Amino acid sequence: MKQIDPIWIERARHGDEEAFTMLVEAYQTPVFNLCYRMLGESTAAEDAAQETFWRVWQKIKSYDPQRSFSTWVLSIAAHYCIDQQRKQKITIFELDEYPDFDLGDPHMPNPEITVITNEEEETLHRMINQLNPPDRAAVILKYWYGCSEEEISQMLSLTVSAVKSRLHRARRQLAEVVTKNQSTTLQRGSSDEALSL
Amino acid sequence: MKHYPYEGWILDDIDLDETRRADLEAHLALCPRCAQLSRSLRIALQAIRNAPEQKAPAGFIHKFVSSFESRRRLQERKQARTLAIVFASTALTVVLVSLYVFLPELSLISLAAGAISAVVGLLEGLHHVISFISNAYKNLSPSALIVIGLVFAGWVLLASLTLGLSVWKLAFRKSEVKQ
Repeated sequence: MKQIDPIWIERARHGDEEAFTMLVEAYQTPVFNLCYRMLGESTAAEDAAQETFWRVWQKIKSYDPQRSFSTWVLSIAAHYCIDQQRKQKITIFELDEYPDFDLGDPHMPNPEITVITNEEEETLHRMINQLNPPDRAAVILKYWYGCSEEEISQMLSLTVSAVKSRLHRARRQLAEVVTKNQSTTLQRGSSDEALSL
Repeated sequence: MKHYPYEGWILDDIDLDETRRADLEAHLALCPRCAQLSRSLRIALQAIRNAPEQKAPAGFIHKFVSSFESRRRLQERKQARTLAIVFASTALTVVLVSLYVFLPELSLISLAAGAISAVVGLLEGLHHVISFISNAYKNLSPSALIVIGLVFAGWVLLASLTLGLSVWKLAFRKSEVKQ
C-alpha cells in the first residue's frame, strides 16, 4: 500500500482540505479495491469508497496518530461495506448456480493461472460472496491486504479469537465451494463422454 | 479414520514445524478427505491471492472533491433541521407544561378564565422579580452589584456570540474546497 507523509495526515486533521485530497489520492485504490471485493460490483464499490472518504473526513479529528492510518481508513471502509450488505441483503448465490471453474492444481506450474480473466474474476466474486459479510471482510483483509489477525480484530472490532474462528470457518467454506465445483465439473465431463460414445 | 488434528492444521493456515508437517503429509497420503480439503483450500486461497488489485475508476478524486461541498451543505441542513426540531420540541414542551401548570382544566370556559389568571399570575410573578431586583439593588454592596452585572452581561454576550456563530456557519460559510 502506498505510504504517505504523516505531515499530510496531520494537516488534514487540522481541517486542511488540500491535504485531505492528497490522502484520498493515496488511498483511493486500496479503499476501492476493498469495497469492490466486498460488494462485487464496480458502481456500488465506487459509491462505497466515496462514502468511506467522506466518513474519514468527518472522523479524522478523532483519528489516533499512534494507529496506522491505512488500517484506520480500511476499517471504516470494511464497516461501511458490512453495513451496506446487511441492509441490502445481497442475494447469496446457491452452490448449484455456479458456473464451472477450474483454477488448476497449485502444484503444477501453470503461467495461465496468474492471468485472471473476467470470467475468473466473476467466479472469484461468487466464491467470496458465499461468505457472510464479516467473514468476507476478514478473508479480504487477510489475503489481499496481508493484515495480521490482531490488525483484523482491531479493524472489525472483534476479538482475536473471533477473527481466528471466522477465518477458520471461511476457509472451510471456500474449500467446500472448490470441491463442489470440481466434482460438478468431473460429473459433467463424464456425462459428456458418455453422450459422445 | 481420524481427521483430528489434521483438519484443524489445514484450515488454520499456519506454518507447521517439521515434525507436524511430516505428520500431516503422511496423513494426507492416506486420507482422501483431508487431501481434498487441503487441495481445495490451496486452490481457493491461490485464486484470492492472485486476483489483481482493482484500480479506482478514473476521475474518482474529482468526483469526491465536487461532491464534497454538496455533502457538507447537506450535513449542515440536517444539523439545522435537528436544531429546529429540538427547539420546536422544547418550545412545545414548555407550552404544554405551562398549560398544565396554569390551566389544569382545559374546558373552553376554564381556558379563558385560566388564561386571564395565568396572565395575572405572570404579571404578579414579574412584579415579584422586579421587587426582588430593586430590593437587591438597594441592599447589596456596589461591588456585589458589579459582579452580578458582569456575570449577567457575560452570559448575554456568550449567548449572543454562540447564536451569531451558528447563524454565520449555517448561512454564510463559503466553499473552501481546493479544486
